[in-house]
Amino acid sequence: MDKMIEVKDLCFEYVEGSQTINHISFDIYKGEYVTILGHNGSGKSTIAKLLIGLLEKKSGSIRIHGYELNLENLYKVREQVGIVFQNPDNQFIGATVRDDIAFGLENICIPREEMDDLINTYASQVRMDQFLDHEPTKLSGGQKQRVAIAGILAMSPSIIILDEATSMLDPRGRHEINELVRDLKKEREMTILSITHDIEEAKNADKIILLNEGQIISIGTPQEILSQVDVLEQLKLDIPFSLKVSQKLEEKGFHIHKTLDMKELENQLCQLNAKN
Amino acid sequence: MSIKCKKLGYIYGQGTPFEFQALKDVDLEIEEGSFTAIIGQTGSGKSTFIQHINALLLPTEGEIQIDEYTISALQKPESLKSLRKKSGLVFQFPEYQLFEETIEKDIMFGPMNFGVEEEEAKTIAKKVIEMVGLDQSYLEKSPFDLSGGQKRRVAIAGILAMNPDILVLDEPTAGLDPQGTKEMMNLFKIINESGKTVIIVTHDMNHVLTYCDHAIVMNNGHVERKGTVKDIFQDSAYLNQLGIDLPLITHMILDLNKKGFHIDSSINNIDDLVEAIGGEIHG
Repeated sequence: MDKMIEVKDLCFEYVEGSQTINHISFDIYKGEYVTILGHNGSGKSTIAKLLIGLLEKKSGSIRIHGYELNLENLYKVREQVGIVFQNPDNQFIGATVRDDIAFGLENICIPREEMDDLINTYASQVRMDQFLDHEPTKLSGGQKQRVAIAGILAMSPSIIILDEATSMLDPRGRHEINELVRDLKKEREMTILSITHDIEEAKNADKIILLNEGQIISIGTPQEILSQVDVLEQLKLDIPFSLKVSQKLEEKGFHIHKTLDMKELENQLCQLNAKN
Repeated sequence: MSIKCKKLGYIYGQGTPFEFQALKDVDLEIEEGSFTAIIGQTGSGKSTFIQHINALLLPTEGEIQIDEYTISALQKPESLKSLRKKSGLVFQFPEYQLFEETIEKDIMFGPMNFGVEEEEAKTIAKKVIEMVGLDQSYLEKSPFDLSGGQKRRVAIAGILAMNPDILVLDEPTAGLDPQGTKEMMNLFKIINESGKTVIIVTHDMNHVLTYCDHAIVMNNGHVERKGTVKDIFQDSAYLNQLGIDLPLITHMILDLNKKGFHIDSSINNIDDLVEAIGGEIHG
């Protein structure tokens, strides 16, 4: 499998002497959906900025799709990676939603004829096709995030980094965007790196990188990472709801198999109830 | 201080090609001292509505009455300053509004703007910084050296410094981690219990269930439902149709009740839920 992101022994500090990113290493392969999970200030967003060269590392190495990230390769790397930040206000350029999505496409020299199609397709995929002629700054926070995501998806980068990119959407909207991203991942083998502290979102990833104080605590599947209740609590992260309920029932002496899945928990409870 | 709206409506960019009706025929009353959630999909008019509560937006139709102030499309009051002192609005990502060189100065800015003397403003700053869970040593620091969650606390302290009777918050926990979120929501609960009306726009139904007493459901610029949190969450089919997910606790109770359990659907915390499930299985 192709390695899309290779990080080796990466270090970074904003202020000399205080390591913000402390010797981290991880690999992300083509078509993988990976989540970096950690609380505010754990260094998640700093990693995103390092990966696209917005911040300069102190030591270690970053390779994106085979290219070593350095001054010479910076633009080659950025062609591969699309990033959506948490606050879309910092990312708008166009006077209308249509212009804004077009801006990215113009930059990568997409012919005019194809552009209209791409804009319409992606605007409707994020349900913003009714708003193409609206001013981005007058949209609600969640709508802005949808537009920012459409703008990046339309450019079809091979890697997408979502830095808390759905934080202002309602849970249903967040779910829709996550589904869309997952579909694209399957269809085009896009590689997704999502940065979040939303446990329910992290449940859907192929792999979770658990981050604390700039260090990687562990890397594993959602089942592996999210069942470590003690670790999550220590890192000030949420415990998945179903796990919390099953754990409390177990403490009360019920024979419950701990699970991340609410339906599964309900089935277990129904069986117990039927026995009585 | 109660809030009453009669046929309230708002059109953005009236008379321009961007004209857009964001709010229409809003009739409602928010009781003094309540902790009210405003819920609805993105773009349903929530943020537009709350900006009327401190007259940042003035109605283009109908009227809104806040305590003795009436603001209508036809008649706008001459001075809104005293209203804005009573009703504090905290935007999404309020940390972007910090601007002073020290946190103390940033917090003092609001009260001094309303005519409070410097010494008194300093005393207020000391009090409110602790209300938001930071100690007084922060006052001398630059607001720009803080983490995102801490900046947000400082921004909220700046609003509390004006001692508003009504605190309006637009998705105050967006982007905060679970720990920060919990602390922030507990802070609003304490503020509410001290007698202030708290109005919060949120997408997190789990928060609505745990912290709020009333809820207003908005859809396409209209207020579709209003009532106690308990009543609003009874109609899952309706909420589902609006794309609003039930709180996880309520969701699980309704699922289980369909399969033969008889759990009280107004339960609003995990411990009571576990207790009730346990009782049924044993029973």
